[in-house]
Amino acid sequence: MIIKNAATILSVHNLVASIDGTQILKGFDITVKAGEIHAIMGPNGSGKSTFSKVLAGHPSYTVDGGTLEFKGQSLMDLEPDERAKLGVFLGFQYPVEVPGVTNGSFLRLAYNTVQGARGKDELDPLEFDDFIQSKLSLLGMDASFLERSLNDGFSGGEKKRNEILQMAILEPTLAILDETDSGLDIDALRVVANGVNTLHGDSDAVVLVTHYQRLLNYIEPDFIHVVDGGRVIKTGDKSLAHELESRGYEWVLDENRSRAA
Amino acid sequence: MSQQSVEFTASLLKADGANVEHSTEDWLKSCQLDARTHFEKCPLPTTSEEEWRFTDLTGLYKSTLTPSALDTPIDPSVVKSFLIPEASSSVVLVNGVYSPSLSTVSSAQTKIRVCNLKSALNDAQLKVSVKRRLNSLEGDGVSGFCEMNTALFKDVVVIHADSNGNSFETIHILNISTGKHTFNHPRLLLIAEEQARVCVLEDYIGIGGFGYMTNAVSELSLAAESQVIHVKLQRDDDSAYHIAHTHVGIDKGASYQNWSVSVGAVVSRHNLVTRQREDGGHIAIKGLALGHDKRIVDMHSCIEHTKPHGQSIQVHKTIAGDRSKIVFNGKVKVHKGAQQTNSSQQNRNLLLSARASVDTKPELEIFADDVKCAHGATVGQVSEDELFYLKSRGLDDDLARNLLNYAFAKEVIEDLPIKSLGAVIESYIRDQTKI
Repeated sequence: MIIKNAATILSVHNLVASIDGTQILKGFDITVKAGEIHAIMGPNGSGKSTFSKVLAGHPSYTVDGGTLEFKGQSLMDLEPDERAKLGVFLGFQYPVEVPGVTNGSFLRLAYNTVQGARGKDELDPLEFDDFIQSKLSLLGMDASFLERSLNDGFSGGEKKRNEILQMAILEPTLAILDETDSGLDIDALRVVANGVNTLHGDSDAVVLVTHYQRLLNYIEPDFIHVVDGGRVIKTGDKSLAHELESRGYEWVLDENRSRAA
Repeated sequence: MSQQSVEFTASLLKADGANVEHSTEDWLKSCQLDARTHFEKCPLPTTSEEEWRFTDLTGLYKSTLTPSALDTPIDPSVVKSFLIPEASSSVVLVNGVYSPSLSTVSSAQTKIRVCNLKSALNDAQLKVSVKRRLNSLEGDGVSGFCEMNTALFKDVVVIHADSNGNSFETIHILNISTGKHTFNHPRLLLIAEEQARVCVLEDYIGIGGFGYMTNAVSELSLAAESQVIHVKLQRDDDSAYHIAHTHVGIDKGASYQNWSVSVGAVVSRHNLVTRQREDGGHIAIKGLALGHDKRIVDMHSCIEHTKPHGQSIQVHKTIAGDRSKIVFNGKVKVHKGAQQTNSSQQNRNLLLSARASVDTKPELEIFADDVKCAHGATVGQVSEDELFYLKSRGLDDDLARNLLNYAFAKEVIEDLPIKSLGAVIESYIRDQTKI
């Protein structure tokens, strides 16, 4: 929802980033305000996922220029955990499987670490069990999820639900959801979308990174950005998504090329 | 190097000479004297021997060791903090000698007998078993250290288990070293009769000890259909030298489960030899070794399938940090005629530092044609993707790495039948894998 005079949550200006010497982001711009949902779309290899990883602080990427501010504070020199404590959350396209780490104890550890950093009370195992029940039911997950190893042997849908479960307990101010819809069947997509809609409010923002318009039927964006060649080349409202769905990306790319010429 | 080993050997014999307290039993006397003669002729191994080339004992051979004092006072409350709630009997040895005052031996039932050598020899029936099994080391892997133990042991912990229904009784053998630059030679003899079940924790700690040498030998004999769980926890002082030989013989359809956890000493070496003596039988070995500081941890295991239908499964995991050196040599021998053997071995090593090293060598010797033998060894680092994932959820670098190290080791310890040890080992992992 677009709110007048809402606070700016994310401000990215002319961001340039590379991996192993190859430049991927080449002057990326985006401004996200409280209450808003943004969708970043674009063809394969356009830099969408790179943007989300750079935002979360993935160590493989080097930022070569530009600014990256979260609520007025630069994220550049912050470790991924410091960004998470401030309220940045990345929902992974491919959540990592960590055999041997129990999901439940990991979630409690993450929750308490982030709560502690925010000056809030930590929960003991029993209190945490109560706390997490409502979050589990929001995502149609049963308690047996907590007993399993983190993402280990989870189906694609279970992994994505688990990402949103983490979002639910960490209560981020900015959630970047990278291809959260990939690998989901319609029912799972509905559950995950409903989870995101329930968690989203006036004081936080969501950035969806997606290939397809399908997800946007369930989570309605306020802005759509088309990315190509490591830059945002077009921004519009949600009708742009329908146009992309029916006409593909080529016309936007053409438009951009003729503008450049 | 070799000269050092010879001099060290001579000095140990000389130091111990005055204390030799030979048994009144002629067979035992000659057994110890034979070992002594053999050990005099054949000095302790050095890195010039293939089997010991990674186990650098120069530090040990350069040191001057004396026999442990036999009457060291020890605070019972300190001892108590190491005991486990699962144990029905706790046998405490101080510097290799049985301490009746610190031990609690259950007399509630008679199916499992736990006693020292003297008591065992006073029981006519038990004496026959002890005489038959003591110093009947099975298979290869025997070294000068075994002979030294046989020549110089002061006592033997004897566990004799008869069939006792379905329950596993847990016996804790706590070996405490208190000396500074001393040596001791703990000895264990476990005899499981047909269908017997027993769980033994062989535990090594140092209380006030420094630079000492523990030279342990354990012999286990499993009769048909018996089941033995054997947990060896080596948590000797960080300055200690720990040498251990475990020899296991398995009869028809018996099951031997071993957990070998090594989290102490400056240099440790464990030779674990399990030998299938009859048809069938099941061997499961799980190992965990932690290397930190300049520690050397060496595990040489040998699984011998001598008869058909044997099964063995081995998982050995290690974490090497700082400038530590970790060695795994896993031999599996399938003798001619040992058809339908099913064996698998996995060795996974995690390197935490650029200066740590791992030497791993799976060694399969197969002389039968209808067998399944799988093996694999890997050496790797903490995955950057896993680390980033955990950090993106708010865990700082140290916490995330600690969690991943624990997760790596967990496979080995999660199904430990002695539950209280899980938390104990977890705390060693947390302490010793800090960056």
